[in-house]
Amino acid sequence: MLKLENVFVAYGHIQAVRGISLTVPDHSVVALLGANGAGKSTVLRAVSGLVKPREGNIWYKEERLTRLRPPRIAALGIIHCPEGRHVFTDLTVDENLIIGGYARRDKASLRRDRDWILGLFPALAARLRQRAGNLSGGEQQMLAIGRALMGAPQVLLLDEPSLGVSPRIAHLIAQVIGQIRSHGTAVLLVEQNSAIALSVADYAYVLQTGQIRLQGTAEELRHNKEVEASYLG
Amino acid sequence: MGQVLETGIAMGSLYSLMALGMVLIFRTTNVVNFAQGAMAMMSTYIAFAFLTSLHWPVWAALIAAMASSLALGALVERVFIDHSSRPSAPIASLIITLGLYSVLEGVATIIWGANPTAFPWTLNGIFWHRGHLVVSTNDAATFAVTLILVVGLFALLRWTRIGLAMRAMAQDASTAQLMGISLAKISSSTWALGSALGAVSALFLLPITYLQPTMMDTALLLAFSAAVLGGFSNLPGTLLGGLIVGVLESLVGVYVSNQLQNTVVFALIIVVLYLRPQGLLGRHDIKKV
Repeated sequence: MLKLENVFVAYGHIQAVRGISLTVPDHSVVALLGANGAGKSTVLRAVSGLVKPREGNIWYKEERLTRLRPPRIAALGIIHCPEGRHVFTDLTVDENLIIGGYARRDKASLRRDRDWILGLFPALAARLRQRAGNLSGGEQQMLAIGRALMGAPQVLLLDEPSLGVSPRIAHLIAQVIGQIRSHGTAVLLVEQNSAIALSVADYAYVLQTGQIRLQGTAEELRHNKEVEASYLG
Repeated sequence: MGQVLETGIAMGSLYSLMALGMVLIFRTTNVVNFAQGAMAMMSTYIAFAFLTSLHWPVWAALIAAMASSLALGALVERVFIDHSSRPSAPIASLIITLGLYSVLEGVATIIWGANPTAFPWTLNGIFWHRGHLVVSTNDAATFAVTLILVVGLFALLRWTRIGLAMRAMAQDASTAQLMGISLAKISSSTWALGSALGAVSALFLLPITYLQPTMMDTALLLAFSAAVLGGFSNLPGTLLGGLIVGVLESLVGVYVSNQLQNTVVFALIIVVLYLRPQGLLGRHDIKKV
């Protein structure tokens, strides 16, 4: 279980996250919703160690993540798939996947995971030798997710996977998130598209200006008018 | 003519090695290492010290020089390079490498003096000749070693774990960390490797430059030019850039004037960059959104 306790993050004088507490239970999909600039991505960046919280703690099982550097956190199985995909465009699709499994030494299970990932995204299997920069936006998003899965995540931090992809790909990604959960991985999903997020999530938090404004099961929030309102600021 | 080209390619190979080291370091850590030449010079003096003061055999002294250049590269990276994400960090590191350049030359002058000294061991003799074309043993060894190192470097980057991590870090360091790559480790390995490439270059330049604290000054400038010519982050372009600079330098020296060698080389670089700002083999990256 991943747990955030009263986390504050600031960039210079700008308070991006102001006292957030949330939990991601094992085997669950938890969505973070909210408008642009609500602090959703910052929460993920704090969990993966890219920014250090000014206050508060982040725990994974018994381990306090707030003291660790990003590569250590990744090695614990908390894998961040960043917003904007950030695939290594000069590397081939295959090399991107290999890099995703960089911290792992278990060759056999690495190969099993790779087969599983290429099964989730057959489009990638057909393009293994191509430069990732030559893929379409949707394919790059699949690659970014596939690369993250190569790290054998216990918790996958997935930032805006539906941003800038076609509705067809967004639907595919939603299905894949379900399969990732069935595979035994918990997902902390950041989304602007609340319809997609609530269709796959078990539980959701709605952020507004760095604070939690609402929370509840996906079922409850699907019918809550305030969710829509929070996007309008 | 053939001889002029042969000499040019030999010199060019050495500029390429220096430049590949600089580009490797720049791509991965965003620092232009102006101390590249001075660090290489230190390694040749270390070989010299092992040979003359400790009377080690040549092979052992050369291994010691290579080991020290690897260590020096890693040490410089650990101690001097600003790893913070402050916007001024690349500039700060750049100034540090410039400072290090003069400090290392100063230290070498204090320890060994400023006078050019012949290195006590050289590859003498002629390896091959036909008609007027002569390939000296030093040049033949230069070609062989450059070829091995270049192929080795490309193989390392292409097929090894650490090479893949270097390429990933060169592209997007922040994302590379998320894959469990330790930037500190990759960064210091890259500096070690870049420094060693410079040291090899310096060892082969010894018969021309002699051993002196400023021995690598011209080579640094020409290697820097070679790297710029290649686009500064493109390795094949850098290799090509080095060879062009070497051949051009040799042609100008023989057919125009010795004094004008650097002038003409730099004039050419200005023209090339005017026509192709991205360098010879560089390309504009199109970002997909």
